[in-house]
Amino acid sequence: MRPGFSKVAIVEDDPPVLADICTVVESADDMELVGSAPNFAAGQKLVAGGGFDVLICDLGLPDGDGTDLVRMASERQNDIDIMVLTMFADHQKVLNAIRAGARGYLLKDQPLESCVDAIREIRAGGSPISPIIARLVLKQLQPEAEPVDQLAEALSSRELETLNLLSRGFSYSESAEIMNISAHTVATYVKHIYRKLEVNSRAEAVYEASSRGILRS
Amino acid sequence: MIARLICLLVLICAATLGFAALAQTTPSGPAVIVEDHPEGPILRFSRAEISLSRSDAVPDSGWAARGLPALWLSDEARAQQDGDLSAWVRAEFDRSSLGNEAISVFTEDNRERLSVFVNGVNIFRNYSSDQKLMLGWNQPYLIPLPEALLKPGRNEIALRVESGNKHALGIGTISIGSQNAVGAIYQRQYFARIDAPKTLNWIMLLLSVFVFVMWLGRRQERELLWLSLTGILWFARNYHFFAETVPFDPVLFQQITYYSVYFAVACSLAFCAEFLKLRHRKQIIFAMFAIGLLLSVSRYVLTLTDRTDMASSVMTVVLFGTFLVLLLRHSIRTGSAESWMLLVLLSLAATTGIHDIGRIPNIDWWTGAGFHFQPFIGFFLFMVFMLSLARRFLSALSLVEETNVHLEKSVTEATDALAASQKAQREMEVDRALETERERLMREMHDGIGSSLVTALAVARKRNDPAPTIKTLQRAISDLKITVDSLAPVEGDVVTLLANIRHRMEQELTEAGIASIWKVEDCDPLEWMDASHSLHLLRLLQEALSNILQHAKATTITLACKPDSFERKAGLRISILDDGTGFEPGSRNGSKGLNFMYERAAILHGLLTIESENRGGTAVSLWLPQVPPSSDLERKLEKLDG
Repeated sequence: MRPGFSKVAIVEDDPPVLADICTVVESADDMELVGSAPNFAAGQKLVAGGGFDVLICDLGLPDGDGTDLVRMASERQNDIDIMVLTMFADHQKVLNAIRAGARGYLLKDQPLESCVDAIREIRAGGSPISPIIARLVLKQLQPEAEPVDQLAEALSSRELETLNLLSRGFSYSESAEIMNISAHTVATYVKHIYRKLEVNSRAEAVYEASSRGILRS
Repeated sequence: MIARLICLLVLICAATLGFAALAQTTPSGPAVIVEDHPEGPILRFSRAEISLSRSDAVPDSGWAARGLPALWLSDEARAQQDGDLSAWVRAEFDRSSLGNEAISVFTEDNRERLSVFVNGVNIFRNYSSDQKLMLGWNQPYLIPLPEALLKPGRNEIALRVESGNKHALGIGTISIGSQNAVGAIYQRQYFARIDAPKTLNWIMLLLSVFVFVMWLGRRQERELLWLSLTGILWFARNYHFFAETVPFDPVLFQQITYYSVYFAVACSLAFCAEFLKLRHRKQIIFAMFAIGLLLSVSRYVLTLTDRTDMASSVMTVVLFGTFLVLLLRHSIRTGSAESWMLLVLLSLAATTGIHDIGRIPNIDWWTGAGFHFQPFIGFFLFMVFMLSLARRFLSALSLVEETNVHLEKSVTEATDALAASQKAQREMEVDRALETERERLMREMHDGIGSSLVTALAVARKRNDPAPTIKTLQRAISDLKITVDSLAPVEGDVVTLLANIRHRMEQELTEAGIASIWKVEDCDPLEWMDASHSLHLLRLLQEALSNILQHAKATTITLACKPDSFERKAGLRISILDDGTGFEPGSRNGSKGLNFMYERAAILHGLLTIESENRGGTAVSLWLPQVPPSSDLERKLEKLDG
């Protein structure tokens, strides 16, 4: 495998959109389309088969919830990058997707050319975040917030600082300047934060299950 | 410890008996003892002539010299006399040895009826009718000797004592002296024997009745019953100490007087047992009363056989002693101050009991303090018991009060907690309702209009439709995104809302070649902002930015937000400055978009200014209050009410 080369899989129920994305990915020099699925059932097979390192997944599939596919893919293969396709990037959908294992999102109204840029960015280790989402994540991951803290992976002070600046509207480059680091590092911090959010939500799920007596071990 | 206590008891008994043996020796020495008193000399007769005659006048014969007082003549008199018993005593004295002041005779311990004769003339009787039995035994008498009957030299004084056949007969002390000298002694004795016991015992009876009524109200408090019985029985026992006449049948009265003491003691001990919650107290109380009954029977048998009842009196002390041992064990085990106090008190009572036994006429070990302690001891015990009980009740009341206070506090806390949880629940319900509604709206936007717009945009792009078409579709999607953002739970955080507008429009601005400068300071969230307020704010800001994008030809915009007060009201100010062309002052009235901005600012209780800068560019400034005007007014009203 060549470094910087991405194998991409796509799940999208809207045929023109699916076709467009496939075209854009195939025409990129550093990407290869390894599979696509038009619905949840086909998506499951695609995920089970593996062989890709980027998954682009629509959330509103006619026969199931895209979030479940994200979770399956993330649990199967931890080192892949998952991006969800969203119409508005509204906080609820994006946060759920991140908890399930997504690391980025693509807006459906974006020009398709920006789609490959987003894939490259996420492959390079960075993730996008909006101020509202930054604020909500900050609220959820604040050290004293949850009783499952002992299970949770806490944010580092740099990550907290990043999140704080982003929630107050500073762009990646502005935040980087304030913190005296590179913009790319800020994007990396965001990705790490997403990973911790996912880990914590898993831990929470386990905690809830065990406290309800579902898990006995 | 118990063994030591028993030894102590034995020692006390032995010492008592030894002392009694010494005290009982027949008096010898002069027949008349002259005592020096500050008010003048007092003659006390230690020997006199006694005659067991039933004559109404001073008898001529049958006199025999004996020591005085002769407290126990009952047995001798019963041997010689049928029916009522009678005895005479006579002595001579020299009037001149007593100075010129008026003189009186002082006598006490006579049983029971008393007549006094001077030179053969009857000058005093303590009874009015022959039928009525008097209680003279504990009464001191002060009888003035009429000067007319006295001769300058030797004079004869004679006393007659009478008693029922079943009762005791005895002659007490006889002293003669100036009215003041013997009067002082009389006063003292009358107080100690009659006045004080009478007052205290009547008080005790009254309190006992009160306590009994209390017990009727609270039967479970058995201490109250034992306390009231203690008082009533001690009163019954003590009545003969201070009463002058027998209130009813003399024999019955005598029996009640004799036997009540055992039960008074048993009740006192029962109270202690109940009060201290001694182990096996039911059995102990039962045993105490059984012993009391046994003592009564033994006394009855003893008096039938004309024997002395000293044995039963000593057994009373033994009864006391047994209980003291139990109490001592309890005191050592619990170490409570209450039980030690009662132990000391009961020991004191037992000691005074021994003192009183020594004063019984047919025992006559000593005269002791000159009066019996018993009428005081009953009262003393009763009062201490009552005060102990009162103390316990008072502390129980305090405890109840404390408990009430605690309970009230708990209830208040529980009520508050309940109110808080209800409030939280209501809020949760509202949140859930909002969330459900939000989800419905989102679904609507995703599946319906949003989906159509995105598809339309994709088609338009593919067909290379004119730029305005694409722009319009993009703006429609942007509008939807902003609507979605307004529903996010940012809790009035204006900075986040402003930031999100920037985030949403960043790409458009970049494409238009406009750089944005971000200058925000920390601002307190505006708690009054709800989703609709958020939407108004976002739309207002969106409009301002759109205006710049469309008309200003700017290269940079500055987005700022900082705390700022206006007309002394706290709040924050959002400003958007551009370096574009500005606008003609007159033109803004016609703009529909600008009017909407002012309307939205009014809904947000804010103040909007849009100014064209001299150097070029436009300054849009929106001030928002920390507290909306209506709630400001409410707070003022609350203050007035307070």
